[in-house]
Amino acid sequence: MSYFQGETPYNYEQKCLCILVLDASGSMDGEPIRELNRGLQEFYAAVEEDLIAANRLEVCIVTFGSDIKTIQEPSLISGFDMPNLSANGSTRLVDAVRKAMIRTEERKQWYKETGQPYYRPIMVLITDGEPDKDQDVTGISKEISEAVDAKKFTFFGLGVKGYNHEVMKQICPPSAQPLPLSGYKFSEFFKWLSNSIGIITKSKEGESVELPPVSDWAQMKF
Amino acid sequence: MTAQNNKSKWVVAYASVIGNGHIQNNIPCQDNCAHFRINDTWSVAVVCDGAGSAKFSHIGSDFVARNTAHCLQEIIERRKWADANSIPTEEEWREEALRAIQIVMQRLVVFAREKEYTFSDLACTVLSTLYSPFGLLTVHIGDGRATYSVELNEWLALITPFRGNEANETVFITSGIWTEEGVQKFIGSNVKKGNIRAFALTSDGCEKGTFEVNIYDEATQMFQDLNKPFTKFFEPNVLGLRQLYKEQKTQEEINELWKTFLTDGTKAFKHEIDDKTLILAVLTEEPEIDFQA
Repeated sequence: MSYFQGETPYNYEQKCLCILVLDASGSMDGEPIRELNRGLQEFYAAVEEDLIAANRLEVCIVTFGSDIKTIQEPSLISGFDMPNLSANGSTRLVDAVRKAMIRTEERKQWYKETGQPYYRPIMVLITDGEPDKDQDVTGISKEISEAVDAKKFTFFGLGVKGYNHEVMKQICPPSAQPLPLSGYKFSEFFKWLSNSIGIITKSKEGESVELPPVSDWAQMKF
Repeated sequence: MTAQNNKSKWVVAYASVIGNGHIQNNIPCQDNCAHFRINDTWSVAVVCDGAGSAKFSHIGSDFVARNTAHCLQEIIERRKWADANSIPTEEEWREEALRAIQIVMQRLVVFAREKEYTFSDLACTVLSTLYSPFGLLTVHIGDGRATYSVELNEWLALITPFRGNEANETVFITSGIWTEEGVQKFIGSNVKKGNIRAFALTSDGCEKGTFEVNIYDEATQMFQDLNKPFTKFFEPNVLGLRQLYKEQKTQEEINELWKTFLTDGTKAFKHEIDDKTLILAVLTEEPEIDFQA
């Protein structure tokens, strides 16, 4: 006999925006873009399987080569199929991050306007190269650092084989140094990301959050 | 947890259970609760939710829950408040409650120093109530939800949780709230007088399963936190608790059943990633309605 029971109210989940800023420049052609696509599909499947994450996480994807494209507007996993990326062009990384920052603020504003509680957005930059020469690395570095300090979003920079560590180090905020990917272990990275999102959305203070160890996918010695 | 005396007119269920996210990530349950009977009239209930980002918040929430209960007990032993006529005013209660919570905070400072913890690593919320059949005295810091009922099928919110801009932001007993202005802004207190038939305190891990907290309004196309206790959740459990009382179950047996229920007894509880604490206290018999009142 069950003594305790009761109906459940219908509550919507609080939203968490994860904005992926992905390098789709020519240098990613071949194995890198294939593995990145595989990782994205696995990330999609992992989120889809997790009832809470599926109703909480909104994914937005901005890609960059010679052009900047928002190939996926912010949406719950149920609202789209993960696109398949193709690689070509140069590396307008800075313009892409700037666009992602604008999209992030727009989405937060929309959450506020519609009365939706939200977690701090997460921005993930993945690149295997370095920005085009005309890209304002110093400027974006300052903008990211200020935004992270102002708790506008959490930032992760992931370097894929061949990336320029010094430039990425400059772009990433001091509190979140770039993480070099071991081989093309995108699947492991996205598994880590989905676990980390669970922890971030649980944390309550603006203090640093202890995320799972990165040893499965990161190359820790530079 | 302290066992309830069965001579009480109340039957109570209380438990804290670990959330799925904590199990997956090997994090301890950071919620804790305390409950005991003070005398024939008054009992105390406390829920503390440790901050996810604070390393030893499970230790802080245990310390704060126990110490808050004892500090509130001390108020009753000193002030008595033995019947409905002597229940304190809002101002009297606030003065006592703030003093008690400040003592808890100071004890936590000493505890942190002695055990060599960083104070902020013990961060937790506090939600506590002294309860009697004729009134509730509540004090809280941070989030969580609380409700009470004076009539069948009518449940009212007892507190407004403090929320920051982001969904996971709140304040803790360890936060920088201990200024004159901070105390006024971040420590809530209230007195509810009347024939209380039931009440409940929850950590935020239980709120989606027990309150309407994020509801979409088609007309305005807005989401709203109604802070509205869900009667269809609470009333069946009032009956369940009374049945357990009739069957003369011990407090330990009741709490074990409650723990199982909080773990996966409803869809919301089953899928919740956060730790869950829920204290539900119910008069053992439905009070008779006084039609002359």
